[in-house]
Amino acid sequence: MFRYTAALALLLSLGFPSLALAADPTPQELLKRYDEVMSPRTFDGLMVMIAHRQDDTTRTYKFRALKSEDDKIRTWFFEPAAAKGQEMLRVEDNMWVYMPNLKRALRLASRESFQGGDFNNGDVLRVNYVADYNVKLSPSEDDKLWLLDLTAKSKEASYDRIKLWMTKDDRQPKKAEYYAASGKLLRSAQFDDVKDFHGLRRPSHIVMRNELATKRFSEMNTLDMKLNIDIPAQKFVLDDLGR
Amino acid sequence: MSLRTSFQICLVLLLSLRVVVAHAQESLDDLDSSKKGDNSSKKVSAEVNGYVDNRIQYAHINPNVSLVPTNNQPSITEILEGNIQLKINIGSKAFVYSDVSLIYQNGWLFYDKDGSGGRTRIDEHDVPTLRPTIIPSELYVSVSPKPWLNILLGKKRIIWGSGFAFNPTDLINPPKDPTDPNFQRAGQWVARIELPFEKFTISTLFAPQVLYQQNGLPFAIMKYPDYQLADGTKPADDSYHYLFAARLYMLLFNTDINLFYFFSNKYADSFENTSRFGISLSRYFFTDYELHIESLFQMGSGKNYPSHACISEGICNPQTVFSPSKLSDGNIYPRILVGGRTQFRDESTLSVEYYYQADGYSSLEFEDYLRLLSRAQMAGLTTLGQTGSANGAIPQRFTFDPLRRHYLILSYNKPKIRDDFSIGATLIAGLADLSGTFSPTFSWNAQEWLTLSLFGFIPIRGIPVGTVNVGGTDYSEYSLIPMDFRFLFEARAYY
Repeated sequence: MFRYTAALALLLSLGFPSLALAADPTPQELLKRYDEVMSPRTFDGLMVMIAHRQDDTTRTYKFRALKSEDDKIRTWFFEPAAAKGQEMLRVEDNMWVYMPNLKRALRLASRESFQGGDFNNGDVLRVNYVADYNVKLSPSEDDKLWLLDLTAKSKEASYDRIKLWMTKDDRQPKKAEYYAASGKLLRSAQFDDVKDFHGLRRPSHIVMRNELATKRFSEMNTLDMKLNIDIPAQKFVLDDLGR
Repeated sequence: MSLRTSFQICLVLLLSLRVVVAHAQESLDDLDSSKKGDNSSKKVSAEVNGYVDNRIQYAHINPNVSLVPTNNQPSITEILEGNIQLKINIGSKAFVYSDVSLIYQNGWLFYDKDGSGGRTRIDEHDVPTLRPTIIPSELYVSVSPKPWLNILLGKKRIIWGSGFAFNPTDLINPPKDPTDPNFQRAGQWVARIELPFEKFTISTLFAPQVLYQQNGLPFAIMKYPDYQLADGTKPADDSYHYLFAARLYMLLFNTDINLFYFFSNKYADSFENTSRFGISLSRYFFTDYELHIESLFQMGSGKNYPSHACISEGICNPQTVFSPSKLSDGNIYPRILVGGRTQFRDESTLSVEYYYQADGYSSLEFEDYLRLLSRAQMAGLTTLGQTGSANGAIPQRFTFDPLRRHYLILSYNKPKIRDDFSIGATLIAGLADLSGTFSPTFSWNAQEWLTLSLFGFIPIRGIPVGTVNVGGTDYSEYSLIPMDFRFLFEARAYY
């Protein structure tokens, strides 16, 4: 058996050198993998965001997120009571929030804060890095991680530049840094606690630190996520908000 | 059972419901099963939330600065509101929704002119608008037999336009208070059919006007009864009062586009069998700047105008002294709102809106209006010139009912000045005379479920530009507000 395996390895290394190189993914493949892990084609997810504030107290937001095949996302908030009934919708470059106390929807910007926490709306509602960013591979100080350097393709992207580290073994996001056009570090994220959600392995816990107010940070926990959901297109229509 | 007893029972019910709904859902299956009830075959389920709110307000009434009577305006007002928002899902295609408030309110400390430039306290007395009441802001059934078809019947607030503080195309709902978003809840009784598609939506609605109501529930709709009410109120006319509206919404080039058509007959104004058209647009530019336009086009105006002949020559016909005299003058009177909104890096939000209404009063018409108010006051007529909450709506602090032509509305809000503290301010400025109102706000989210707020309301009337002199006194539009300032403390607990 050992003789057979050694012969196969020799054959591969001599006769097919390109196959050995193919084991290294391209930066585009890694970015595609990030999108597949963090924002699957369709999903129905239950999330909890815990915002930690300057005074060491927390605020907890629980919401359901539904994503359709054509990259539209809608969320419903259940907690806290003051936010219950709020909904958010993204269709292409457009975002709205439905405010139950106003009985109407208002437009939102991608870079505005998500429920006053340290994620912005784009972090939650617009995870389509392949569409939004150019990517190249950079040298990583940690040999277990790939380092991707992302630059925004357009002003619609949530950040001007992102440094994204992904694990080499199972190609999961590990950490990220988010920069303004000036080069100023705005936020940093840590991805951990990889779990299996109905066949999809992905980090269930993200910590987003606000680097401008260093005592503040927010956690995003994925409690549940179902994939390959069939959702009517009308769920992603502005007039369906509040219904 | 008295209304107060009913109110107390409902408060207890609200608090007990909080216990029922407060259970954790840790998976989508938990969530779905809790929505369907314990027995998953059961098709009816309920969701409940709401709040208990207490507002206490002090207004420094100044009867001498205004031509509007103050004898029914209390200095101290207390409003206690229990709100319940109940959604009953009937299967997956229909639900019944109610947003109902029980309101206990009262007012004290009334003042009137003392005849020598000061004010004098008058006796406490009954003011009908300060009685306890029940307000169903929304109460409707919604059915979606197909994903592309929604049928709605009942009372609902339907806002189509893109204006932030004010919507000139909103002919359906009671007017709102631009200085306080929380007071913009009440809708109108409608029957609506909506066809939502992926790229566009078609909506049509029919709104019969509520002519008489008791505790938020109508008892005369669309046509006055033939008889007079027990309190002596006589039917105003024998017309049908209704509004038909159609709207096409499209999301094109990342822009919300709405086209409106309205046909109304004596619905909230004097227009009879009249068509009006509207348009609204909203889009983000340069990633962070939302811009919007909302416009209504109408031939003639439903506003009431003072009779110049009556004011200047004393030839007064009671039917035309203050009447919609431009109703059918053949001119087009557009109402246009243009505005923008942005959020800064510190998460503060600024909204700027300019509003133009072509049928607003000219300087001469405003002067006539003031002279008419002055005469009405001398004659003891107390209703002319008074604005306030619409019938069937939550009591408002201020109703934006612009008299003149040019307005600027600025709103600024800065959250997290220190974690749970936020500040805000709204300025409404009449550009014809640079008068206005300034409404600062300070809020503290003391708990996730509790918000404490302090609101101010200060009329700005001191800038002597474009004012109109009547009887030796300079008046501006917002000098008609008969108070020097007002403060309101609000505690709102959500459940």
